[in-house]
Amino acid sequence: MNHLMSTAGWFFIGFVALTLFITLVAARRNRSAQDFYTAGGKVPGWMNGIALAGDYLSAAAFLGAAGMYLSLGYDSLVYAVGTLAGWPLLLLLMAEKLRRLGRYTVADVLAQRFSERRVRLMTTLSSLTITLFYLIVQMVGAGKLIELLFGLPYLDAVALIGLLMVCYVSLGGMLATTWVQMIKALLMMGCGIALAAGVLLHYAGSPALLFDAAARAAPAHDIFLPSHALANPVDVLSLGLGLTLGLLGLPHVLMRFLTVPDERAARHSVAWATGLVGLFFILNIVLGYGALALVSPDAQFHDGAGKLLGGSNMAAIHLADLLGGATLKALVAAVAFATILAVVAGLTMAGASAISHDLYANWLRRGPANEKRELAVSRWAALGLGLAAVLLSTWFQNQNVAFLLGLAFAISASSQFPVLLLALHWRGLSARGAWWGGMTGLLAALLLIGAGPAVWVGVLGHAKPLFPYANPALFSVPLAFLAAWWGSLSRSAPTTAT
Amino acid sequence: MSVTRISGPLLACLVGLSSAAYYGVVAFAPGWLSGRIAGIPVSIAVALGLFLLFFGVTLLYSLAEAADAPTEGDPR
Repeated sequence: MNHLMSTAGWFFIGFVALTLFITLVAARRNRSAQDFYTAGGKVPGWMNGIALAGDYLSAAAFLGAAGMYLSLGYDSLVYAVGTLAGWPLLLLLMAEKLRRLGRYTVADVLAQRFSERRVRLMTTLSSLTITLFYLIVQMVGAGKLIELLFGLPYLDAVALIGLLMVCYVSLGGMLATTWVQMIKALLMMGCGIALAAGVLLHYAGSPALLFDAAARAAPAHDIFLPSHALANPVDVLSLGLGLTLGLLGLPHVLMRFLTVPDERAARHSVAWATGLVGLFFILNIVLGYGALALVSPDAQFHDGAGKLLGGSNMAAIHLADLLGGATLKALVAAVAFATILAVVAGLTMAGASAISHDLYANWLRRGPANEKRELAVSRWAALGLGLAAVLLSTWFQNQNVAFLLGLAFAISASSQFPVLLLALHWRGLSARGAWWGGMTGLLAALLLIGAGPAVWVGVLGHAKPLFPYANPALFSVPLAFLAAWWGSLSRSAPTTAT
Repeated sequence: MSVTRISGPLLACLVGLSSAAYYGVVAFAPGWLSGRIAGIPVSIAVALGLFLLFFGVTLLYSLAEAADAPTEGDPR
């Protein structure tokens, strides 16, 4: 354990030192608000693609997915299919237009059509809610990881992450975030390849032998079919809809299209990101079933009650321990930590921009603010977001991060996506329709999640949920579109600045 | 390689329908995913096929030159 702590500790310190150095270098290059928010709009397509993959491959993709294979088998792949489907849709429906219309944030895209302040307010609220929920997911993964490796209490662990993320964003802005994401994406990919190779070597390079062994390790149910958790067809369809469309509303992903020089680079970004994310999902199949076959039957990774040490999110870490001992475990843990830190930085960047640029400068001050003051607000906003995420994550610390991510996607698919899609493709959308659609989707998703099993039962401790389905998207997404359509039909006043 | 502008919506439909069909099978007929092909579970082979389709669509469109022109009927 001491060896592990020292090895993991050195990896952790090394990564933090490297990324802080990068942040300081980036900070010197930030001379304007455009540099801070969008890295000057000069990031090449391939670099942005790797950073996009880094933004997207979060704690849920690494820790949560392997944990879900271990506990629920094939369900993890059901999640992966939906989330990957979002990438081509993002390219075909949004990427180029976002680049063409956007300036600093998603709200700027809508502001090109609607000058009403309430539309910007709606988009900002929506962005902040999604960002905060997504941040909670990352914090849960980070907290558990550090708790397991160093024995730090959960709250101390997430506070450490919060402090680092505030440093990255407030000092380095989007350029530092981009570089950190790239390094992290490549590290994560290397780690995934090493682990998958280790698993396959264990089974003479044969995936068929691996699947046989995984099936033998879990004889009670068919691990290659959806589990009992996906037994309800409405829940499955709702999950699929939320996962597929959720990507198209994630602020930290959409903001990345504002960092490239043109639409061609925006398209290339998505191709790179889809390839990398898809490759990682394939590696995850090997890792997940490898964990099922190797970690699941091994008593050393379970407590007296038979539960996995550190919870199901730690399956990949235990797999690394089994394949390569303490050193590989420490390396994988450090990469997982880097993953979380980088994603958290990207999310905080999106959230802080929404607060400083949209809420403060354009909504509160009703126009261009002093650039220095706006950036100062952004830095304070990063701190506030960090604190909020740390505290809120304590409520959700015992839930699977992949499942929690599904809920974040559902909020995104219900609030941001419908309004953006209609704004980019439907001339008939009015400011009133945008406001109605966005707010209806956001409130419906939040209320249904609050009344559903995750919060009503999992957090508040009630025996039965008020809303029976785990994912709200099947209801909240159509409601948002309906409200946007109805609001646009019933418009009575022209869209003017207020 | 040339992909015309009309391909965009068609490709989006292809991706959307494929995803809908997959979740429809998972929801209503998960048994269709049982069995094996060359030692690989059918459910995994189907997911891998979809991964390939999604990446293929993205690659095809991103390499297209025709899409560089501004979109006609841009709602802006």
